[in-house]
Amino acid sequence: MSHLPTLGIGLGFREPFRSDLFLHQQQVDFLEIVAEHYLDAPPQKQQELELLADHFPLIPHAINLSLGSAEGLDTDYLRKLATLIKQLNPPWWSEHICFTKAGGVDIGHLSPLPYTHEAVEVLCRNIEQVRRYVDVPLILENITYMVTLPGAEMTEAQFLTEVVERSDCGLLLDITNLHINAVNHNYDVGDFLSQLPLERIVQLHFVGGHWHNGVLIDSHSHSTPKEVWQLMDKVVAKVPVKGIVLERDENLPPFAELSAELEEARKIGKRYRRWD
Amino acid sequence: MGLAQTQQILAQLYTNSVLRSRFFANPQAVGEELGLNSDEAQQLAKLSAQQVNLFASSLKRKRLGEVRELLPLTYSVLGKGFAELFWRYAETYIPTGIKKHLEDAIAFSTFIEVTQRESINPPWVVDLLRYEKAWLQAAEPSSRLTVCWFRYAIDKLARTVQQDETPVVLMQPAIAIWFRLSPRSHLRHFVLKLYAMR
Repeated sequence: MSHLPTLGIGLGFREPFRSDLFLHQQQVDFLEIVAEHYLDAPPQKQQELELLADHFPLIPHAINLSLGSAEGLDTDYLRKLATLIKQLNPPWWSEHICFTKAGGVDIGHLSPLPYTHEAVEVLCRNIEQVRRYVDVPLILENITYMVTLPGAEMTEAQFLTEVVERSDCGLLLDITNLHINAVNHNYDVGDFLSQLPLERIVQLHFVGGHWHNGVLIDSHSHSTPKEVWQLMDKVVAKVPVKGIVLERDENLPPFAELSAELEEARKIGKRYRRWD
Repeated sequence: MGLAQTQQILAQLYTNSVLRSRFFANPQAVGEELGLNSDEAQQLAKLSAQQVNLFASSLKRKRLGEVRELLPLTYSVLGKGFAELFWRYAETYIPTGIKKHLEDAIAFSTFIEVTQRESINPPWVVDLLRYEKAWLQAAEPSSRLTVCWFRYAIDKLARTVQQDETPVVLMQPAIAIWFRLSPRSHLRHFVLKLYAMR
């Protein structure tokens, strides 16, 4: 993954802060766009995409390819996604290690896979198929999960490692997801990190979630908690990450708050000389 | 039990509350009913009901959040009633595809129009909802012409609700028209008002 360019500090693009974004362009090195928003999009969304691409490097982030579906991929969806990625020509693109569809049901969210050899096989087979449509490097993101699936043959960290190594993909480490899973499923973040192939980490995601009925939820709705900042520091110290993206969706604050978080992430990157 | 079969059952458990209750009341029997052998059913029975129920609720809340954003005027008028209607509707339909939230909002509007029309109070909310639904349908690039009639002066009603003012509810039949000249051109919209009713 060392050949990939360093992009710096990025922001997950959301329509409500479009104007503020252009007013504070110098604070954002690149944008991550949700690919689904631009598939079969109306003309104004296409124009929005062209405008964004004129001002920022864009990284497509897909959420519904369902790479972990044992019944295979939706090729119609894959074709549309491939067309978008080709149009943007990014240095990499990303999807999640999960499934979102099965038996004609679109679950509507990222759902965990059992940590089994069969699931690794399925992911690798599907990624192989994706590569026949998209030749841009793919990086895979770890998700949060509320449901622990029975029948695991390995730990979550071993599963992620097996998937990225076997499929030869980069890793998009969502450090908020890692923190949330560690809290909800009571494991040690340091142990988890020590099992990951750190050299495969290309990009990080970060944001804050909220508590609901005693469970920490990855709602992308709050400012980044100190535990996640500490985790970012720890990871960036060890890994020459190429990009760090703030992913805020809900409860959007004034743009100044987002800028302050981006600046904090930038400082961490500078501290370890990941970028100027 | 293969992964494909596991995923099919999980997808149903996450989205079908009736099946979920039945499964957790008797996981072995329902597992076998879904095609698992005894060992496989026993394995799946280890799922935590609490975790699955929590995940299922979060899926519905996420859908509600998306639909609320697509039907902001109806939501602002119905308030809590909007969520109550949505929970009832969400049991009946699961959207699919790239534009599933849009599809969800349109299907929810149809659900209210068709099955809840008589119970919606005040009754002009149904017109407001139909207006928002028509906007969503017309905004699709494949849609060239959308025409819809209303019992109220729908433009005034929508504008006042949008601006958080006291809704102007004027019984004045109106026809709203949306059109675009080509798939890439901007959507145009106007409202023709007929006579005011006393």
